[in-house]
Amino acid sequence: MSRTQVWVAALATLACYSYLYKENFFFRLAEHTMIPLAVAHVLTTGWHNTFLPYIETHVKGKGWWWFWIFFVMGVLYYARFLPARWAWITRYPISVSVGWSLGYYFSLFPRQYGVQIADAVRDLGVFENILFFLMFATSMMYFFLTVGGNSKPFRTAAQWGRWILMVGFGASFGNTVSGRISLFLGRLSFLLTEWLGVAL
Amino acid sequence: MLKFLERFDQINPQIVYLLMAVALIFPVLKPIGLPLSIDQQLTMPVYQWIESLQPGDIVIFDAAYGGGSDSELGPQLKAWFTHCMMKGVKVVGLAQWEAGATLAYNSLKALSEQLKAEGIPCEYGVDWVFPGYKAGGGPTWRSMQDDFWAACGNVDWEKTDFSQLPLLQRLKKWTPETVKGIMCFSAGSPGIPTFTQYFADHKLYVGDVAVQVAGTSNLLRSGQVKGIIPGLSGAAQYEKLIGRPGLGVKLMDAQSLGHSIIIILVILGNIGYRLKMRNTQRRA
Repeated sequence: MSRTQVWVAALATLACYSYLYKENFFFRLAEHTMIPLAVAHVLTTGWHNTFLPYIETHVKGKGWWWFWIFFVMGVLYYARFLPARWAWITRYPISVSVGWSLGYYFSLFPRQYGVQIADAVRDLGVFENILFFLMFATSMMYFFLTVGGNSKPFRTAAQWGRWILMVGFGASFGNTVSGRISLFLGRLSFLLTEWLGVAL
Repeated sequence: MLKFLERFDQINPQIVYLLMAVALIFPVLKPIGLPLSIDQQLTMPVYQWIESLQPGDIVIFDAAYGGGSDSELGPQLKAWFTHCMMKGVKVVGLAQWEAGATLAYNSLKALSEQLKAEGIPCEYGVDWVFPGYKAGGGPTWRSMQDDFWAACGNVDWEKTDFSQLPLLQRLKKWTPETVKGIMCFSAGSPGIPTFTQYFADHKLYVGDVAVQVAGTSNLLRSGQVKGIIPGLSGAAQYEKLIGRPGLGVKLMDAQSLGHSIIIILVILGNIGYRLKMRNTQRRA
């Protein structure tokens, strides 16, 4: 990054963190600049990394002229902005896209969950597996709200399930906090090394 | 004393932020050297995988992350890549996220210069290659298995033709025989599911952001993932394993101290809350 870029990045970082003190002009400026920048970034990278490479390598390079059909179908998405008389055209690309995606993903999607369901059935001769089974069963019972849901044994098991779920959410939350601190440390190391020139 | 503890029930957030800032900045400037243990179930399998490979073996990594996760996954990628180069393992870099491609490529370009200066072979095109981001999502990645060159459009991230990159002459198809494992640095979607769906017969390892680790752990248990580098602590552990403590290790002191402050404040806050509740009940 050039020195100017480093300064802009550093000041924008400080503007974002200034919110921790209180709502202020600099935070608002950073917040409102972020959205148009993100949109511009997505558009330009999409143009350079998706559209142009497809044109150069597939359409021009391999002569796959029929790729233009997909381009036209993509453009048809915008038909929804046309008068009501023509807006229905937008349903064509949507239906093709949804139909193709469903067929494609359904052929492979269940496999990954099948492996996990199969893994949930384990030899109960091992203490760890008994523990796993109890946690698995009681957590499931928490979400079981129909037949037998009001009986005392069921409610007790579901209560255990709630505790186990809370332990799971606690672990996720702890990791989330760790991740957020890491983000701050990333910005902090940028400010210290690249902006202020401190050697870490 | 009780009155003092009661105040923690409604502590001013600005004071919490200030405390956290001090707790995080101080150890970055002056490392304390808190102990760091290696996670045998998560980080160690990734290290052992690279150790088990022969010089010349090819592995592929995926930079499925953006700027928001670079502080966690960037140090992981650097440590893992350095390990590969030290072992003579050849690396091919792809990216499911456009931003990930830019971040990973810039980072590895700078790192490879540094490694070369230290005498570790790290020649672009020979020891590592970066085709980067390729549009098209899952189907594109699936087609890489049958014809890697065609699916990538025959060009790398800087539009160099694959025919000019010696390493890629050995990678026409992406199979478990040609590629000895996949390392996915993942911050969300698209990420790990691309591999659990389309690359189920490949060895998959994950560099995970801390937020996702709990969710990825069940994949580890079911064997769909063989090892996980968890967040910044995982990066620090990996740096320690390869004997090159870097930014990850330096930042872990701050991470640990920050967590300690949070734990102390949670305990004090709960004590304050209990005391206040008790006093309110007595008055009633």
